[in-house]
Amino acid sequence: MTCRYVLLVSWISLTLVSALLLFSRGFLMTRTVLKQKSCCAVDSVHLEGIRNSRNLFVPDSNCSQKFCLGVGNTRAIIFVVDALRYDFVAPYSGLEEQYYHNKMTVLDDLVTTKGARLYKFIADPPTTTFQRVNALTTGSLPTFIDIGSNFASTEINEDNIIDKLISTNRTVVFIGDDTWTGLYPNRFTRQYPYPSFNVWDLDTVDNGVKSHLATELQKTDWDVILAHVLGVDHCGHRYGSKHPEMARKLSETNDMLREVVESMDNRTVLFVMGDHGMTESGDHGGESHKEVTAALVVYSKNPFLSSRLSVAPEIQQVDFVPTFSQIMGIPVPFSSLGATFLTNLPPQSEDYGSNTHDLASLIVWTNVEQVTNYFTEYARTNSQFPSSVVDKLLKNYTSLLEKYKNLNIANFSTFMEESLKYMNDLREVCRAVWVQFDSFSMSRGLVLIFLTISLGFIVVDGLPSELLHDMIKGPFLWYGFLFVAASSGLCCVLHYFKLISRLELSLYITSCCSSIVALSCLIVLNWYQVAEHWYKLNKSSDPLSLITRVIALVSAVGMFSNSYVVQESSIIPYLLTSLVWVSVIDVKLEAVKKFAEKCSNFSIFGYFVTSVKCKLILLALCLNVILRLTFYFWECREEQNTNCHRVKNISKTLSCVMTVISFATFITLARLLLRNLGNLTGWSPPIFVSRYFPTVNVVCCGCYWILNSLPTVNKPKLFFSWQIQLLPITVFFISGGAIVLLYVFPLCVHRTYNTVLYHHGNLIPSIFNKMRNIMSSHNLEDRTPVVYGLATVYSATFINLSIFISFLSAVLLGESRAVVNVLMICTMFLLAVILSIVKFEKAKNSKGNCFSVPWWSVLCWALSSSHFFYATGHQPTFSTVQWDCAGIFGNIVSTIVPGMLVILNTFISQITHSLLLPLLMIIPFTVATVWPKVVHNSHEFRNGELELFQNDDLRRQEMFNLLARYILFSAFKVFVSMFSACIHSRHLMVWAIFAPKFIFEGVSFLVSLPFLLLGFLFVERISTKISCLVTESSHID
Amino acid sequence: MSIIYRHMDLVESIKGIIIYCLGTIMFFVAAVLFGAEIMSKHEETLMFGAFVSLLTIFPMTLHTGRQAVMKFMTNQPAPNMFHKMFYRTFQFTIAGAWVGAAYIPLDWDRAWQAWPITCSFGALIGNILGYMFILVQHFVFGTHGVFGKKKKSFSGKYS
Repeated sequence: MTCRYVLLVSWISLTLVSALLLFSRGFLMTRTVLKQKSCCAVDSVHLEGIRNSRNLFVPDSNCSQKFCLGVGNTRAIIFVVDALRYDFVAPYSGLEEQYYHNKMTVLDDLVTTKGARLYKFIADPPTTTFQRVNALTTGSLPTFIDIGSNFASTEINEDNIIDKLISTNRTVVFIGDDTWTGLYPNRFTRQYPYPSFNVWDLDTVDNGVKSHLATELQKTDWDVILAHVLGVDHCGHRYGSKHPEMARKLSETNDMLREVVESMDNRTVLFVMGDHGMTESGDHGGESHKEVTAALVVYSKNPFLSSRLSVAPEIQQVDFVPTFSQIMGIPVPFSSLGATFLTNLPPQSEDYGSNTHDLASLIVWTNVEQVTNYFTEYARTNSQFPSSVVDKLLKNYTSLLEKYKNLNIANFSTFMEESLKYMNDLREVCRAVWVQFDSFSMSRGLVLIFLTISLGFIVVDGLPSELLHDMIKGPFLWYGFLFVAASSGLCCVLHYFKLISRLELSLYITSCCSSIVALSCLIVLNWYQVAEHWYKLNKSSDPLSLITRVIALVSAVGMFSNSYVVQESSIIPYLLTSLVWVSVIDVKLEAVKKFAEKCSNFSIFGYFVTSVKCKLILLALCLNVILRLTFYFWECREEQNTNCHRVKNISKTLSCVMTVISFATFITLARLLLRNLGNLTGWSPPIFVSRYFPTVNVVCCGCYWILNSLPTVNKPKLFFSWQIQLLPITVFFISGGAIVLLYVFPLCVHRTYNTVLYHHGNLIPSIFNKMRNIMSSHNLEDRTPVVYGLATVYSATFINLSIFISFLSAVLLGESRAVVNVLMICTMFLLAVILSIVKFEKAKNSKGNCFSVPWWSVLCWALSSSHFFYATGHQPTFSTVQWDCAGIFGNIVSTIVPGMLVILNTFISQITHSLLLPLLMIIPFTVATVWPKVVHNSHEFRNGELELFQNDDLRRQEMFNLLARYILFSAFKVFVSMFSACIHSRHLMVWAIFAPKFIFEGVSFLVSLPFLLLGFLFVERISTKISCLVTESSHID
Repeated sequence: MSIIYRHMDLVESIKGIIIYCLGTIMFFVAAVLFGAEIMSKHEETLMFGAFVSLLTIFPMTLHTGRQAVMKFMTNQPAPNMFHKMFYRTFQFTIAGAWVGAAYIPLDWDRAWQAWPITCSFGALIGNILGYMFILVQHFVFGTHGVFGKKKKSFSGKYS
């Protein structure tokens, strides 16, 4: 039976997971960063060489490129105007002239009279400055997640033109947007970065650029000046494109450009470009026509290579990198995918004329080879590209090679066309994999996860649990599994016969769809019962359930707003506090009504103080104070700049001592509690473990933290580094081992055969029995077993579990944040106690209701889990991930162990909450036995937690319900974050806020699923062991 | 007005002031627990507490005496319409302040988004809505119809 419930839970969660994966396949495009660097086999090519170039193949294949062209002394000015759309520059003579038309007069003048060239400069999505700057320097198609690049900092370690320039001893000067200095720290000879974050500030960056550009232009030592102005982009974000401010910003930029053009000498090439465009409302980030169409103007006082080569009006943004490299005479960066733009190249020498074709074909051919080299290298190390496509492209390459070997004047133009087409095809293949949102997978993923959540909600909330139980007992589950397996099998068969091309996608879709069909069959067949059940529920609605709905909705809908996602750390505890207080205040004082008439005011007050409600309020106050204390462990994210105050000036020693003391208090309290409950008597393995291991753990943790905080100078004198790493390893293995042991021997009880039986409440008969036993000596062998701690058998195991989990996470979180763990465990237990008392108050006189866990408890638990995600010093951004925890075991070569440690560290709150979720069901019975005063009909709960064992079916049903509710709410949050990431895919902040939020929600959902099941299995394991104990005892009798 | 005069004796008013101050402290603590900054903005928080206390506790002590506050705090049902009005406005004011906090995290960069302003404003609006609500409830859906009759019954009770 347990097995069936586990299967059902895993079925629902797998359906949700496959819908989630389907969505993320479409939304998160990934690319692996290759670390290779390009180089030139032959540095400069003389004209004689070019003539015989086809014979000049260098066999040495270590270098990606055979030739580097270009004139050594060329200088370049790259002037990036953020969000300079094509029509801001192109002359406009229509009737609907906007503020942005015809303002860049200098560029217009250059193009019409001085031979400068204006192009549509097509950017690739995502059209955000960060990714565009990356593309403009590496020539590749950066995605949101470039695997292999460094998550912790934004520095680019892929091959790029800046590094190439520096390696050839060029002087690079940078002025403007500080995105560049984040991407390329310590590269520029001189740099003048200005903050880019405040999009309402239109002038700071521009004024800075203006003042420094003038002085830099006077100097002669630079080879490349990079200037990046942001005014136009910020104006778009603030006012939109159709605004007088836009005219002002464009004119100012125009003035700056005039100065630049006037100061240029003959060997300088000027590039004026927009890194992306903008929509009419001034946003960018997506892939609409206006966002991707930027402008590029290239100007040099020397004429360009040839006017005989046709001038295309449109070039790709990635084409900039190879073109620039050829002009500057540096190797094209290894991962560049662009095609060199011949019409912008400066002449090689005076008498190049006759060699135009040779030169052009050589440049194009080196380009083809470089791109192919990168592509094959990428396809070799990575299986993102379908092999059929790779083979086809390589076939094209060989045919091109043949053509190049037999090149003459006649087939020159066809060769050029074909090689351009080849490079284009190759780039399109890459783009399809790396850049485009796959709207097919995204929309299907969204729809499927929504359907699964809503059907799951109807099954869990609508079907009466007895009916669900019967259903699970029956063959439905097997039919459902058979159906899913059959459809997936069909998918595989179709793939085998090549009728389906993308197996992974179709497996996701079919498994989801078939599960949805099965679930909806179940609902349709039982629709009458569902309707009846909901009708009953509707009649007995109370204000608390309404407020629960409001708060659940607020916490979910907030994810659509960027400011709510940014400030979520303070919103979650706000909602949690509200919900707890509402549920506490909602409890009625029953007896007061009768009281009020008779008694005076003062005695009412006295009555209030002794009432359950007052105790509840005090508990809630405790909980609230603890929650408020955890605020001091928050980490700030970049966007919170003004609203976030971190308490930094706590010395390391102090925090160390505080942590050790709090842990010691924590385990002492837990021990006292366990001892008083009778779960610390005897010498069975779990009791032994819970008696001694926490102490060892505290000592080890304390030693580790103190030794680790010693000054680094003294450390090597005292001990080796492996010696200090032994301590956390000890803690880890002790805690992990203890958890495994608790699973194997879950019962923290002690059984003796005592001759004396103390009947609860009936003292006289027990004394009589004892007297009789003493008098009649032949009846000494009374083998009635006495079991210590049976009334709290479930909660004792879970208390031990929580202690060991808290040690695991304490080691992971480090000494300054480990206190939060203690606070988290306290919060969870307090919350469970408060919720169970409220539940008892609500479910008066009906014992059956005490098994079910209502929605508001589940919501509280879920809110608490996301609150402690923030309180353990995390934020849903990659820069705040605590990477240092990966190194606590020293340098491990594999990436799996540190990766696991980082994931455990990041989602420790979700993991703990999902593992201890059964507490919501167990604690009510604990409260009823330990603190019977707060429960009205406590005499019904004399058996304590054994009620859970006795009502086997009810326990499983309600456990399943609890798990399913928690999973559904988490999945709902994931769905909302997916949805918001999807709608905001054009938003300025999508890659900074919404996409990371989605990733963190999704991963936390995935991580918490196995731990939820583990918690469920723990409860079942305890139950089976109790039944063993009972049968054993009765057998002996 | 006669009700107010009747309660204008010294001891009673001092007790009222004490209750008002206690209310201020209560709201101060509540605001801090709900996430208000305690170090840098304690003055604002205290002002907010005083303001909400002024909207809720103060009229209660003024009109119905401190005992009504005690009754309300110990969660007893309202004995009459007049008490009910204060209970209702209390709930509405708190709800208004709660909703007002929703404006603080938004990135509109307005001066009025600073901490106690939106909450105080929300409390004020909630307070007004509470009075309106009770007015509408009483005169549109209520069983007692006329204004004068009601007033008379009040003065009758307190004289």
